[in-house]
Amino acid sequence: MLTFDQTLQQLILLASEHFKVPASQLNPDDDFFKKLGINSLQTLDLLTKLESHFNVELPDYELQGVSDFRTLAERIQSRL
Amino acid sequence: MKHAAPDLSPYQCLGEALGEALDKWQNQVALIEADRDRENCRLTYSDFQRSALSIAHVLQRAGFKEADRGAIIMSNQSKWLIGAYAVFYCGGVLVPVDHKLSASEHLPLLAHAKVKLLIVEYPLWRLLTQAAGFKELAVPTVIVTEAPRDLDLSNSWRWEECRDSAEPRFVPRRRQDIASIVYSSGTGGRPKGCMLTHENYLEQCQALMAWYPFCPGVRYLSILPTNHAIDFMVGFVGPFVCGATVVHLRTLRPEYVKEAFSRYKITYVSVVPMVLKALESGLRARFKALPMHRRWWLDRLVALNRGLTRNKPNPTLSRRLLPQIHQAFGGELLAMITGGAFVEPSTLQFFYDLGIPVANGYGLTEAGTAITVNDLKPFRADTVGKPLPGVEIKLVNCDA
Repeated sequence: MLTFDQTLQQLILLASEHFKVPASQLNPDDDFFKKLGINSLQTLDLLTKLESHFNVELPDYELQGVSDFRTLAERIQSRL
Repeated sequence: MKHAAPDLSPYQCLGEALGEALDKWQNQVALIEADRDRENCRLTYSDFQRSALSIAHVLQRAGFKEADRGAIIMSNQSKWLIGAYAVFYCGGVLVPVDHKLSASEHLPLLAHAKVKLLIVEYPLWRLLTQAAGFKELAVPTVIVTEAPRDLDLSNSWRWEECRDSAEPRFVPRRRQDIASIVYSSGTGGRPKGCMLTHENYLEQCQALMAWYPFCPGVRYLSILPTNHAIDFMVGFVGPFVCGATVVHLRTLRPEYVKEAFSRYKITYVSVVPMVLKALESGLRARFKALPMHRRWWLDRLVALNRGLTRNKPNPTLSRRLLPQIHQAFGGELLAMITGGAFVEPSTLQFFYDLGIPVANGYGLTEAGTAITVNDLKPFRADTVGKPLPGVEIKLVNCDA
């Protein structure tokens, strides 16, 4: 099973590739809406990609209020 | 489907109007809640009433009384509406809070509204309890939904355990009493609490249902947050007083929303302009990818549909001319409702030409939500429509 740090790193890399933002510019505590410049629809797109990559189901309602990479990685980790 | 606008003039308050509807439509399906491809629940009006009265009695036992304020912070789901009706049944004032705000934004709103009750989904409750300032929050009754079974909620109550078969006491309110406090920031700035009376809602509902009547058999897909005044009206009060069905999705992933249109044969849906634009872009991209001869036929059929529906929508005809497009929307969609931001006329025209009218409207929460709506008689892409029945409008500083 992935460690939390691995999950976080992979999450940032996936977001970076998907939204064409250099990974070096993304930090765990960044607000991903602002840093990736995405809206709520694009976030859903990212979540679908994350589910497929980590092979987990991430219910929208469990991610309410989550806006930084670290917390998102925690939610993923808890479902691995 | 037989459409008839309800007469809400005999009612004094939302609790009364909704209560009579629950009695009247007992065996009709009131709510369907789905999570991806799973159906969580399907409640008849009778089931809904039983659940809500159980919560209402628990609230009354906890001391929640007339004019007390009860906040809801939840995404769209059945418990939102059940909790709201329980608050109205107790004569309370509903404070629907935007679940998309952060916990640090929720706390000042709850304090400002001086709520005596909070009904909240567990993921949001967890964030609230972790936020700075949580300890200063003084809410006597907190009900948490979907909390993990083994979790100690200390002084909060678990929704799933709020069962009470005793009959609560209905607390009537007058038309001029406050029914809800809706925090709205309009296009920007600090949220202000808009105080809306029972009369505001009853009149608004009557006016909207006169133009877009719901009835048993109509299925409304509730996508806009229910805390927002539009969904509160067309995704709760309106369908309920007319015996229609509200469909909630626990996910808004496009693939599942698309599937829900077909599975539940959706009749109406409200969407924000951004979603409308995304739908348009997706359809245009698909049309563009068609082989040339199919594209040629599609363009001719769309033009024919436009010509034949110039004066008024004709869903049956449009579905025959453009079956694949209508099937993608479930095959029974009558209209989409939009508002809250500018919509390009070309977008509205695009959907109308496909036989899917978009009822574009304009309004503001503090004025009772919808002020104008396009009544499609005939459709016009360049307007937010006419004032609703009973609404007076004054244009001020038009050239400013």
